[in-house]
Amino acid sequence: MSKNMDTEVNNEVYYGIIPVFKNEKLYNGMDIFIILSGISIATWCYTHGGHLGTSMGLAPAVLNTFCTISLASVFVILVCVIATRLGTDIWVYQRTILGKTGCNLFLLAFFFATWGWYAINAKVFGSSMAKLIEALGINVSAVGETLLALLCVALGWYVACRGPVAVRTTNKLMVPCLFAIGFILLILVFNRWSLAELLAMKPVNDVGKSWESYVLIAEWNLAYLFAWYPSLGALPRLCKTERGSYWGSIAGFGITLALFVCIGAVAGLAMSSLGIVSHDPTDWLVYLGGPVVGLLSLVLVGFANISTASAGTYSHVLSSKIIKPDMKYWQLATLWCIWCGILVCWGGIWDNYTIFLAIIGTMAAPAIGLLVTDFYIVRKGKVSMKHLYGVDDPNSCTFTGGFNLVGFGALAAGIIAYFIVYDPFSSAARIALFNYTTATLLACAVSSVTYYLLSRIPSLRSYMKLDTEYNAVSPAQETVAD
Amino acid sequence: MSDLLEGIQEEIARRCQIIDDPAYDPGPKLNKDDLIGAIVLAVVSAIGIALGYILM
Repeated sequence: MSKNMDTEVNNEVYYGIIPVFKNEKLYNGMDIFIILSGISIATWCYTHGGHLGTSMGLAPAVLNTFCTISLASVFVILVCVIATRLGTDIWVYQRTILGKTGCNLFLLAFFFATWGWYAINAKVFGSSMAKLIEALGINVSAVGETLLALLCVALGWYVACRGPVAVRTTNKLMVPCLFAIGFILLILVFNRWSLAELLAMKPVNDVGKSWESYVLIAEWNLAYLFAWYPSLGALPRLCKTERGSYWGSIAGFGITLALFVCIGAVAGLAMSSLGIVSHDPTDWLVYLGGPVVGLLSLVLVGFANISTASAGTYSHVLSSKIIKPDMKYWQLATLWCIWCGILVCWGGIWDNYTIFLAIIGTMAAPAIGLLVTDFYIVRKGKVSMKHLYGVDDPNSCTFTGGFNLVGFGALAAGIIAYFIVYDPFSSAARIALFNYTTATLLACAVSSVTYYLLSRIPSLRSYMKLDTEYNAVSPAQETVAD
Repeated sequence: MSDLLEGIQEEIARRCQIIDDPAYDPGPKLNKDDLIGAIVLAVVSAIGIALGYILM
Protein backbone atom coordinates (compact mmCIF):
# COMPACT_ATOMS: atom_id res chain seq x y z
CA MET A 1 0.00 0.00 0.00
CA SER A 2 1.40 3.44 -0.89
CA LYS A 3 2.19 5.94 1.85
CA ASN A 4 -0.63 8.23 0.72
CA MET A 5 -3.11 5.37 0.79
CA ASP A 6 -1.79 4.36 4.20
CA THR A 7 -2.49 7.88 5.49
CA GLU A 8 -5.95 7.89 3.95
CA VAL A 9 -6.80 4.57 5.55
CA ASN A 10 -5.50 5.76 8.94
CA ASN A 11 -7.68 8.86 8.63
CA GLU A 12 -10.67 6.57 8.39
CA VAL A 13 -10.21 5.70 12.09
CA TYR A 14 -11.50 9.16 13.00
CA TYR A 15 -13.44 9.98 9.82
CA GLY A 16 -14.93 6.59 9.10
CA ILE A 17 -16.08 3.25 10.48
CA ILE A 18 -12.74 1.57 11.27
CA PRO A 19 -12.84 0.38 14.92
CA VAL A 20 -10.72 2.39 17.34
CA PHE A 21 -8.11 0.81 19.61
CA LYS A 22 -8.04 1.76 23.27
CA ASN A 23 -4.77 3.69 22.89
CA GLU A 24 -6.17 5.73 19.97
CA LYS A 25 -9.15 7.08 21.87
CA LEU A 26 -9.16 10.84 22.29
CA TYR A 27 -11.72 11.73 24.91
CA ASN A 28 -11.98 11.37 28.68
CA GLY A 29 -15.23 11.64 30.60
CA MET A 30 -14.96 15.42 30.91
CA ASP A 31 -14.39 15.79 27.15
CA ILE A 32 -17.46 13.68 26.45
CA PHE A 33 -19.47 15.76 28.92
CA ILE A 34 -18.35 19.02 27.26
CA ILE A 35 -18.88 17.86 23.67
CA LEU A 36 -22.25 16.26 24.33
CA SER A 37 -23.27 19.34 26.31
CA GLY A 38 -22.31 21.33 23.21
CA ILE A 39 -24.82 19.32 21.20
CA SER A 40 -27.54 18.98 23.79
CA ILE A 41 -27.76 22.48 25.31
CA ALA A 42 -28.25 24.04 21.96
CA THR A 43 -30.99 26.54 21.55
CA TRP A 44 -33.50 23.79 20.85
CA CYS A 45 -33.53 23.25 24.64
CA TYR A 46 -35.18 26.63 24.90
CA THR A 47 -37.55 25.76 22.08
CA HIS A 48 -38.59 22.59 23.90
CA GLY A 49 -38.57 24.28 27.33
CA GLY A 50 -40.61 27.21 26.04
CA HIS A 51 -43.14 24.73 24.70
CA LEU A 52 -43.39 23.02 28.11
CA GLY A 53 -43.41 26.25 30.11
CA THR A 54 -46.46 27.48 28.26
CA SER A 55 -48.26 24.14 28.76
CA MET A 56 -47.95 23.53 32.51
CA GLY A 57 -47.22 25.37 35.77
CA LEU A 58 -43.60 25.94 36.68
CA ALA A 59 -43.06 23.45 39.53
CA PRO A 60 -44.57 20.39 37.81
CA ALA A 61 -43.01 21.34 34.45
CA VAL A 62 -39.52 21.62 35.95
CA LEU A 63 -39.77 18.49 38.11
CA ASN A 64 -41.36 16.48 35.31
CA THR A 65 -38.72 17.57 32.82
CA PHE A 66 -35.63 17.25 34.98
CA CYS A 67 -36.57 13.97 36.62
CA THR A 68 -38.06 12.22 33.57
CA ILE A 69 -35.03 12.99 31.43
CA SER A 70 -32.57 12.05 34.21
CA LEU A 71 -34.38 8.80 34.97
CA ALA A 72 -34.61 7.72 31.34
CA SER A 73 -30.99 8.65 30.65
CA VAL A 74 -29.84 5.96 33.11
CA PHE A 75 -31.22 3.44 30.59
CA VAL A 76 -30.70 5.21 27.26
CA ILE A 77 -27.02 6.00 27.88
CA LEU A 78 -26.23 2.28 28.20
CA VAL A 79 -26.10 2.45 24.41
CA CYS A 80 -23.05 4.77 24.62
CA VAL A 81 -21.20 2.11 26.61
CA ILE A 82 -21.63 -0.36 23.74
CA ALA A 83 -19.83 2.05 21.41
CA THR A 84 -17.07 2.70 23.95
CA ARG A 85 -16.47 -0.96 24.68
CA LEU A 86 -16.31 -2.01 21.04
CA GLY A 87 -14.62 1.16 19.76
CA THR A 88 -17.15 1.37 16.96
CA ASP A 89 -20.35 3.23 16.21
CA ILE A 90 -23.72 1.78 17.19
CA TRP A 91 -24.71 1.86 13.53
CA VAL A 92 -22.09 -0.78 12.79
CA TYR A 93 -23.40 -2.80 15.73
CA GLN A 94 -26.97 -2.55 14.49
CA ARG A 95 -26.08 -4.52 11.39
CA THR A 96 -26.46 -7.63 13.48
CA ILE A 97 -29.90 -6.52 14.76
CA LEU A 98 -31.43 -5.16 11.56
CA GLY A 99 -29.25 -6.75 8.88
CA LYS A 100 -26.75 -4.89 6.74
CA THR A 101 -29.19 -3.48 4.17
CA GLY A 102 -31.90 -2.99 6.78
CA CYS A 103 -29.52 -1.00 8.96
CA ASN A 104 -28.53 1.21 6.03
CA LEU A 105 -32.14 1.91 5.10
CA PHE A 106 -33.13 2.57 8.71
CA LEU A 107 -30.20 4.98 9.04
CA LEU A 108 -31.29 6.86 5.94
CA ALA A 109 -34.91 7.07 7.10
CA PHE A 110 -33.89 8.24 10.53
CA PHE A 111 -31.24 10.68 9.42
CA PHE A 112 -33.49 12.37 6.87
CA ALA A 113 -35.75 13.18 9.84
CA THR A 114 -33.16 13.88 12.48
CA TRP A 115 -31.41 16.62 10.49
CA GLY A 116 -34.49 18.60 11.42
CA TRP A 117 -32.83 19.30 14.78
CA TYR A 118 -29.98 21.03 12.99
CA ALA A 119 -32.44 22.95 10.85
CA ILE A 120 -34.01 24.26 14.08
CA ASN A 121 -30.54 25.07 15.37
CA ALA A 122 -29.70 26.96 12.17
CA LYS A 123 -33.01 28.81 12.27
CA VAL A 124 -32.27 30.13 15.77
CA PHE A 125 -28.80 31.17 14.57
CA GLY A 126 -30.37 33.04 11.65
CA SER A 127 -32.90 34.63 13.95
CA SER A 128 -30.25 35.83 16.44
CA MET A 129 -27.97 37.18 13.71
CA ALA A 130 -30.89 38.96 12.03
CA LYS A 131 -31.80 40.64 15.31
CA LEU A 132 -28.18 41.70 15.77
CA ILE A 133 -28.06 43.23 12.30
CA GLU A 134 -31.41 44.93 12.84
CA ALA A 135 -29.99 46.46 16.02
CA LEU A 136 -27.45 48.16 13.76
CA GLY A 137 -30.30 49.74 11.86
CA ILE A 138 -30.29 47.41 8.86
CA ASN A 139 -33.56 45.66 8.10
CA VAL A 140 -33.23 41.90 7.42
CA SER A 141 -35.85 40.28 5.21
CA ALA A 142 -37.15 36.73 5.69
CA VAL A 143 -34.90 35.60 2.84
CA GLY A 144 -31.94 37.27 4.51
CA GLU A 145 -32.70 35.44 7.76
CA THR A 146 -32.84 32.14 5.91
CA LEU A 147 -29.48 32.90 4.29
CA LEU A 148 -28.03 33.60 7.74
CA ALA A 149 -29.43 30.26 8.92
CA LEU A 150 -27.70 28.56 5.99
CA LEU A 151 -24.46 30.22 7.10
CA CYS A 152 -24.73 28.30 10.39
CA VAL A 153 -25.04 25.02 8.46
CA ALA A 154 -22.00 25.96 6.37
CA LEU A 155 -19.88 26.90 9.40
CA GLY A 156 -20.87 23.65 11.15
CA TRP A 157 -19.81 21.78 8.02
CA TYR A 158 -16.48 23.62 7.98
CA VAL A 159 -15.60 22.78 11.60
CA ALA A 160 -16.85 19.19 11.31
CA CYS A 161 -14.61 18.64 8.28
CA ARG A 162 -11.60 19.56 10.45
CA GLY A 163 -12.23 16.39 12.51
CA PRO A 164 -12.82 15.30 16.11
CA VAL A 165 -10.03 17.38 17.66
CA ALA A 166 -11.40 20.55 16.04
CA VAL A 167 -14.87 19.59 17.24
CA ARG A 168 -13.54 19.22 20.79
CA THR A 169 -11.63 22.53 20.62
CA THR A 170 -14.66 24.38 19.24
CA ASN A 171 -16.91 22.94 21.90
CA LYS A 172 -14.48 23.77 24.70
CA LEU A 173 -14.68 27.38 23.56
CA MET A 174 -18.40 27.47 22.85
CA VAL A 175 -19.88 25.44 25.69
CA PRO A 176 -19.06 28.17 28.24
CA CYS A 177 -21.02 30.51 25.92
CA LEU A 178 -23.97 28.14 26.10
CA PHE A 179 -23.81 27.99 29.88
CA ALA A 180 -23.47 31.79 29.99
CA ILE A 181 -26.62 32.23 27.89
CA GLY A 182 -28.60 29.99 30.23
CA PHE A 183 -27.47 31.76 33.34
CA ILE A 184 -27.92 35.22 31.81
CA LEU A 185 -31.46 34.23 30.93
CA LEU A 186 -32.15 33.01 34.47
CA ILE A 187 -30.70 36.18 35.98
CA LEU A 188 -32.82 38.32 33.66
CA VAL A 189 -35.97 36.41 34.61
CA PHE A 190 -35.35 36.47 38.34
CA ASN A 191 -34.41 40.13 38.13
CA ARG A 192 -37.96 40.85 37.03
CA TRP A 193 -40.05 38.21 38.84
CA SER A 194 -39.76 36.52 42.23
CA LEU A 195 -39.88 32.73 42.55
CA ALA A 196 -43.31 33.00 44.19
CA GLU A 197 -44.62 35.02 41.23
CA LEU A 198 -43.23 32.49 38.76
CA LEU A 199 -44.76 29.58 40.68
CA ALA A 200 -48.15 31.32 40.67
CA MET A 201 -48.17 32.01 36.90
CA LYS A 202 -50.78 30.29 34.74
CA PRO A 203 -49.57 28.72 31.49
CA VAL A 204 -51.19 30.19 28.38
CA ASN A 205 -51.65 26.82 26.64
CA ASP A 206 -52.58 24.91 29.79
CA VAL A 207 -52.88 21.17 29.16
CA GLY A 208 -54.73 20.75 32.48
CA LYS A 209 -53.90 19.49 35.94
CA SER A 210 -54.71 15.84 35.50
CA TRP A 211 -52.41 12.83 35.63
CA GLU A 212 -53.09 12.40 31.88
CA SER A 213 -51.66 15.82 31.07
CA TYR A 214 -48.69 15.21 33.38
CA VAL A 215 -47.91 12.00 31.50
CA LEU A 216 -48.30 13.82 28.18
CA ILE A 217 -45.56 16.24 29.22
CA ALA A 218 -43.43 13.27 30.32
CA GLU A 219 -43.99 11.72 26.87
CA TRP A 220 -42.65 14.85 25.15
CA ASN A 221 -39.62 14.83 27.45
CA LEU A 222 -38.94 11.16 26.82
CA ALA A 223 -39.22 11.60 23.07
CA TYR A 224 -36.80 14.49 23.37
CA LEU A 225 -34.21 12.36 25.19
CA PHE A 226 -34.64 9.26 23.00
CA ALA A 227 -34.12 11.52 19.98
CA TRP A 228 -30.37 11.39 20.70
CA TYR A 229 -30.36 7.81 19.48
CA PRO A 230 -28.46 8.41 16.20
CA SER A 231 -25.69 10.31 18.03
CA LEU A 232 -25.23 7.88 20.91
CA GLY A 233 -22.27 6.05 19.37
CA ALA A 234 -20.13 8.27 17.15
CA LEU A 235 -18.54 10.36 19.91
CA PRO A 236 -18.63 7.94 22.90
CA ARG A 237 -16.75 5.38 20.78
CA LEU A 238 -13.74 7.70 21.17
CA CYS A 239 -14.00 7.73 24.98
CA LYS A 240 -11.18 6.02 26.86
CA THR A 241 -13.22 4.43 29.65
CA GLU A 242 -16.74 3.07 30.01
CA ARG A 243 -17.22 4.99 33.23
CA GLY A 244 -16.23 8.26 31.54
CA SER A 245 -18.51 7.44 28.63
CA TYR A 246 -21.51 6.50 30.79
CA TRP A 247 -21.42 9.32 33.32
CA GLY A 248 -20.09 11.90 30.86
CA SER A 249 -22.97 11.05 28.51
CA ILE A 250 -25.56 11.06 31.32
CA ALA A 251 -24.26 14.46 32.41
CA GLY A 252 -24.14 15.81 28.83
CA PHE A 253 -27.11 14.21 27.08
CA GLY A 254 -29.26 13.85 30.21
CA ILE A 255 -28.78 16.15 33.17
CA THR A 256 -27.39 19.23 31.40
CA LEU A 257 -30.00 18.86 28.70
CA ALA A 258 -32.74 18.67 31.34
CA LEU A 259 -31.33 21.68 33.19
CA PHE A 260 -31.44 23.86 30.11
CA VAL A 261 -34.88 22.70 29.07
CA CYS A 262 -35.98 23.78 32.56
CA ILE A 263 -34.38 27.20 32.04
CA GLY A 264 -36.32 27.40 28.78
CA ALA A 265 -39.52 26.47 30.62
CA VAL A 266 -38.95 29.20 33.22
CA ALA A 267 -38.26 31.84 30.56
CA GLY A 268 -41.09 30.67 28.29
CA LEU A 269 -43.62 30.82 31.14
CA ALA A 270 -42.38 34.21 32.33
CA MET A 271 -42.52 35.70 28.85
CA SER A 272 -45.98 34.30 28.19
CA SER A 273 -47.19 36.23 31.24
CA LEU A 274 -46.20 39.39 29.34
CA GLY A 275 -48.16 38.26 26.30
CA ILE A 276 -45.05 37.20 24.39
CA VAL A 277 -45.71 33.60 23.45
CA SER A 278 -42.56 32.64 21.60
CA HIS A 279 -40.36 29.56 21.64
CA ASP A 280 -37.47 31.53 20.17
CA PRO A 281 -34.95 32.35 22.94
CA THR A 282 -33.62 35.30 20.99
CA ASP A 283 -36.99 37.05 21.45
CA TRP A 284 -36.72 36.51 25.20
CA LEU A 285 -33.12 37.71 25.42
CA VAL A 286 -33.77 40.91 23.48
CA TYR A 287 -36.90 41.74 25.47
CA LEU A 288 -35.51 40.93 28.91
CA GLY A 289 -31.92 42.01 28.41
CA GLY A 290 -32.43 45.33 26.71
CA PRO A 291 -30.04 46.61 24.05
CA VAL A 292 -26.67 45.74 25.61
CA VAL A 293 -27.14 42.43 27.46
CA GLY A 294 -29.67 41.27 24.91
CA LEU A 295 -27.39 41.87 21.96
CA LEU A 296 -24.38 40.37 23.72
CA SER A 297 -26.48 37.27 24.41
CA LEU A 298 -27.42 37.08 20.74
CA VAL A 299 -23.73 36.92 19.83
CA LEU A 300 -23.28 34.05 22.29
CA VAL A 301 -26.33 32.26 20.88
CA GLY A 302 -24.91 32.59 17.39
CA PHE A 303 -21.53 31.13 18.26
CA ALA A 304 -23.05 28.39 20.37
CA ASN A 305 -25.19 27.27 17.45
CA ILE A 306 -22.09 26.77 15.35
CA SER A 307 -20.56 24.40 17.92
CA THR A 308 -23.82 22.45 17.99
CA ALA A 309 -23.88 22.22 14.22
CA SER A 310 -20.24 21.07 14.10
CA ALA A 311 -20.57 18.28 16.69
CA GLY A 312 -23.86 17.10 15.20
CA THR A 313 -22.54 17.12 11.67
CA TYR A 314 -19.40 15.19 12.65
CA SER A 315 -21.43 12.59 14.49
CA HIS A 316 -24.06 12.10 11.76
CA VAL A 317 -21.63 12.01 8.87
CA LEU A 318 -19.43 9.49 10.64
CA SER A 319 -22.40 7.22 11.31
CA SER A 320 -23.65 7.39 7.75
CA LYS A 321 -20.29 6.18 6.41
CA ILE A 322 -21.48 2.64 7.11
CA ILE A 323 -23.42 2.91 3.86
CA LYS A 324 -20.39 3.73 1.72
CA PRO A 325 -17.15 3.49 3.72
CA ASP A 326 -14.89 4.72 0.91
CA MET A 327 -16.88 7.87 0.25
CA LYS A 328 -14.89 10.96 1.21
CA TYR A 329 -15.96 12.34 4.57
CA TRP A 330 -16.27 15.89 3.27
CA GLN A 331 -18.42 14.77 0.34
CA LEU A 332 -20.84 13.01 2.65
CA ALA A 333 -20.83 15.99 5.02
CA THR A 334 -21.67 18.23 2.07
CA LEU A 335 -24.59 16.06 0.99
CA TRP A 336 -26.11 15.99 4.48
CA CYS A 337 -25.61 19.72 4.95
CA ILE A 338 -27.40 20.35 1.65
CA TRP A 339 -30.32 18.32 3.02
CA CYS A 340 -30.21 20.34 6.23
CA GLY A 341 -30.22 23.50 4.12
CA ILE A 342 -33.35 22.28 2.31
CA LEU A 343 -35.07 21.74 5.67
CA VAL A 344 -34.02 25.23 6.76
CA CYS A 345 -35.52 26.76 3.59
CA TRP A 346 -38.70 24.71 4.00
CA GLY A 347 -39.24 25.80 7.63
CA GLY A 348 -41.85 23.12 8.34
CA ILE A 349 -39.93 21.48 11.20
CA TRP A 350 -40.28 24.62 13.32
CA ASP A 351 -43.99 24.93 12.58
CA ASN A 352 -44.77 21.26 13.32
CA TYR A 353 -42.46 20.73 16.28
CA THR A 354 -44.51 18.19 18.28
CA ILE A 355 -45.17 16.04 15.19
CA PHE A 356 -41.48 16.12 14.32
CA LEU A 357 -40.65 15.09 17.89
CA ALA A 358 -43.15 12.23 17.70
CA ILE A 359 -41.79 10.90 14.40
CA ILE A 360 -38.29 10.80 15.88
CA GLY A 361 -39.56 9.19 19.10
CA THR A 362 -41.53 6.56 17.17
CA MET A 363 -38.39 5.19 15.55
CA ALA A 364 -35.81 5.91 18.26
CA ALA A 365 -37.46 4.28 21.28
CA PRO A 366 -37.83 0.77 19.77
CA ALA A 367 -34.33 1.00 18.28
CA ILE A 368 -32.76 1.87 21.65
CA GLY A 369 -34.70 -0.95 23.29
CA LEU A 370 -33.36 -3.39 20.71
CA LEU A 371 -29.76 -2.22 21.15
CA VAL A 372 -29.79 -2.56 24.93
CA THR A 373 -31.63 -5.90 24.89
CA ASP A 374 -29.44 -7.37 22.17
CA PHE A 375 -26.10 -6.38 23.66
CA TYR A 376 -26.69 -6.70 27.40
CA ILE A 377 -29.31 -9.46 27.62
CA VAL A 378 -29.37 -11.59 24.46
CA ARG A 379 -25.63 -11.56 23.70
CA LYS A 380 -24.51 -10.85 27.28
CA GLY A 381 -21.89 -8.45 25.95
CA LYS A 382 -20.19 -11.10 23.82
CA VAL A 383 -19.80 -9.77 20.31
CA SER A 384 -17.48 -10.76 17.51
CA MET A 385 -16.13 -7.75 15.68
CA LYS A 386 -15.40 -9.96 12.67
CA HIS A 387 -19.08 -10.82 12.56
CA LEU A 388 -20.14 -7.15 12.73
CA TYR A 389 -17.80 -6.16 9.92
CA GLY A 390 -18.26 -9.36 7.91
CA VAL A 391 -14.51 -10.06 7.90
CA ASP A 392 -14.46 -13.83 7.41
CA ASP A 393 -17.96 -14.06 5.99
CA PRO A 394 -19.20 -11.08 3.94
CA ASN A 395 -22.75 -12.39 4.44
CA SER A 396 -22.52 -12.53 8.23
CA CYS A 397 -25.15 -9.81 8.63
CA THR A 398 -27.12 -10.51 5.48
CA PHE A 399 -29.87 -12.72 7.01
CA THR A 400 -32.81 -12.46 4.55
CA GLY A 401 -31.83 -10.28 1.60
CA GLY A 402 -29.94 -7.95 3.92
CA PHE A 403 -32.73 -7.70 6.51
CA ASN A 404 -32.86 -9.37 9.92
CA LEU A 405 -36.56 -10.14 10.00
CA VAL A 406 -36.49 -10.83 13.75
CA GLY A 407 -35.03 -7.40 14.45
CA PHE A 408 -37.42 -5.67 12.06
CA GLY A 409 -40.36 -7.62 13.47
CA ALA A 410 -39.52 -6.45 16.99
CA LEU A 411 -38.98 -2.91 15.73
CA ALA A 412 -42.35 -2.96 13.97
CA ALA A 413 -44.05 -4.31 17.12
CA GLY A 414 -42.71 -1.33 19.08
CA ILE A 415 -43.80 1.19 16.46
CA ILE A 416 -47.29 -0.35 16.27
CA ALA A 417 -47.57 -0.25 20.08
CA TYR A 418 -46.63 3.43 19.95
CA PHE A 419 -49.44 4.27 17.55
CA ILE A 420 -51.98 2.12 19.39
CA VAL A 421 -51.62 4.17 22.56
CA TYR A 422 -50.80 7.63 21.20
CA ASP A 423 -51.72 9.90 18.34
CA PRO A 424 -48.67 12.09 17.73
CA PHE A 425 -50.50 14.27 15.21
CA SER A 426 -53.01 15.51 17.77
CA SER A 427 -50.71 14.96 20.77
CA ALA A 428 -53.42 12.91 22.48
CA ALA A 429 -53.62 9.49 24.12
CA ARG A 430 -55.72 6.95 22.22
CA ILE A 431 -56.19 4.51 25.11
CA ALA A 432 -55.80 4.66 28.89
CA LEU A 433 -52.68 2.49 28.86
CA PHE A 434 -50.75 5.55 27.67
CA ASN A 435 -51.30 7.16 31.08
CA TYR A 436 -49.28 4.43 32.77
CA THR A 437 -46.56 3.65 30.23
CA THR A 438 -46.23 6.64 27.86
CA ALA A 439 -45.90 5.82 24.16
CA THR A 440 -42.12 6.06 24.03
CA LEU A 441 -41.45 3.72 26.96
CA LEU A 442 -44.12 1.27 25.81
CA ALA A 443 -42.64 1.14 22.30
CA CYS A 444 -39.20 0.57 23.79
CA ALA A 445 -40.46 -2.19 26.12
CA VAL A 446 -42.57 -3.96 23.46
CA SER A 447 -39.63 -4.08 21.04
CA SER A 448 -37.27 -5.30 23.75
CA VAL A 449 -39.55 -8.04 25.05
CA THR A 450 -40.53 -9.17 21.54
CA TYR A 451 -36.90 -9.37 20.47
CA TYR A 452 -35.88 -11.22 23.63
CA LEU A 453 -38.70 -13.78 23.34
CA LEU A 454 -37.97 -14.38 19.67
CA SER A 455 -34.29 -14.87 20.47
CA ARG A 456 -35.26 -17.74 22.84
CA ILE A 457 -36.74 -19.77 19.99
CA PRO A 458 -34.02 -22.21 18.82
CA SER A 459 -34.72 -21.89 15.10
CA LEU A 460 -34.65 -18.10 15.32
CA ARG A 461 -31.46 -18.18 17.40
CA SER A 462 -29.90 -20.06 14.55
CA TYR A 463 -31.30 -17.51 12.05
CA MET A 464 -29.86 -14.68 14.16
CA LYS A 465 -26.52 -16.55 14.30
CA LEU A 466 -26.48 -16.17 18.06
CA ASP A 467 -24.76 -19.45 18.79
CA THR A 468 -22.37 -19.68 15.87
CA GLU A 469 -20.61 -16.36 15.39
CA TYR A 470 -19.06 -15.66 18.73
CA ASN A 471 -16.20 -18.04 19.17
CA ALA A 472 -13.45 -15.44 18.98
CA VAL A 473 -14.60 -13.18 21.74
CA SER A 474 -12.38 -11.52 24.28
CA PRO A 475 -13.32 -12.20 27.91
CA ALA A 476 -12.83 -8.45 28.35
CA GLN A 477 -16.03 -7.95 26.36
CA GLU A 478 -18.21 -9.68 28.92
CA THR A 479 -20.85 -7.41 30.32
CA VAL A 480 -20.72 -8.06 34.04
CA ALA A 481 -17.71 -6.63 35.75
CA ASP A 482 -16.49 -7.62 39.15
CA MET B 1 -13.57 -2.07 -5.65
CA SER B 2 -11.61 1.14 -5.06
CA ASP B 3 -8.08 1.06 -3.61
CA LEU B 4 -9.33 3.01 -0.60
CA LEU B 5 -12.14 0.56 0.11
CA GLU B 6 -9.71 -2.33 -0.21
CA GLY B 7 -7.33 -0.59 2.21
CA ILE B 8 -10.16 0.11 4.66
CA GLN B 9 -11.33 -3.49 4.55
CA GLU B 10 -7.79 -4.78 5.15
CA GLU B 11 -7.37 -2.45 8.10
CA ILE B 12 -10.76 -3.42 9.53
CA ALA B 13 -9.86 -7.11 9.22
CA ARG B 14 -6.53 -6.53 10.98
CA ARG B 15 -8.15 -4.60 13.80
CA CYS B 16 -11.05 -7.01 14.24
CA GLN B 17 -8.54 -9.84 14.58
CA ILE B 18 -6.78 -7.94 17.39
CA ILE B 19 -9.94 -6.80 19.18
CA ASP B 20 -11.49 -10.28 19.05
CA ASP B 21 -8.32 -11.76 20.52
CA PRO B 22 -8.92 -12.80 24.16
CA ALA B 23 -5.71 -10.97 25.11
CA TYR B 24 -7.12 -7.61 23.98
CA ASP B 25 -8.07 -5.34 26.87
CA PRO B 26 -10.69 -2.69 25.99
CA GLY B 27 -10.25 -1.03 29.40
CA PRO B 28 -12.08 -1.13 32.72
CA LYS B 29 -15.79 -1.87 32.55
CA LEU B 30 -18.68 -0.36 34.46
CA ASN B 31 -18.74 -1.87 37.93
CA LYS B 32 -20.93 -2.06 41.04
CA ASP B 33 -20.18 1.53 42.01
CA ASP B 34 -21.63 2.68 38.70
CA LEU B 35 -24.64 0.45 39.22
CA ILE B 36 -25.24 1.96 42.67
CA GLY B 37 -24.86 5.47 41.24
CA ALA B 38 -27.37 4.69 38.49
CA ILE B 39 -29.86 3.26 40.99
CA VAL B 40 -29.54 6.32 43.25
CA LEU B 41 -30.08 8.67 40.28
CA ALA B 42 -33.10 6.64 39.16
CA VAL B 43 -34.70 6.59 42.63
CA VAL B 44 -34.17 10.32 43.22
CA SER B 45 -35.61 11.05 39.77
CA ALA B 46 -38.65 8.83 40.40
CA ILE B 47 -39.32 10.68 43.67
CA GLY B 48 -39.01 13.99 41.79
CA ILE B 49 -41.56 12.85 39.19
CA ALA B 50 -44.03 11.93 41.95
CA LEU B 51 -43.42 15.24 43.71
CA GLY B 52 -44.04 17.14 40.47
CA TYR B 53 -47.47 15.53 40.16
CA ILE B 54 -48.33 16.32 43.77
CA LEU B 55 -47.41 19.97 43.20
CA MET B 56 -49.63 20.29 40.11
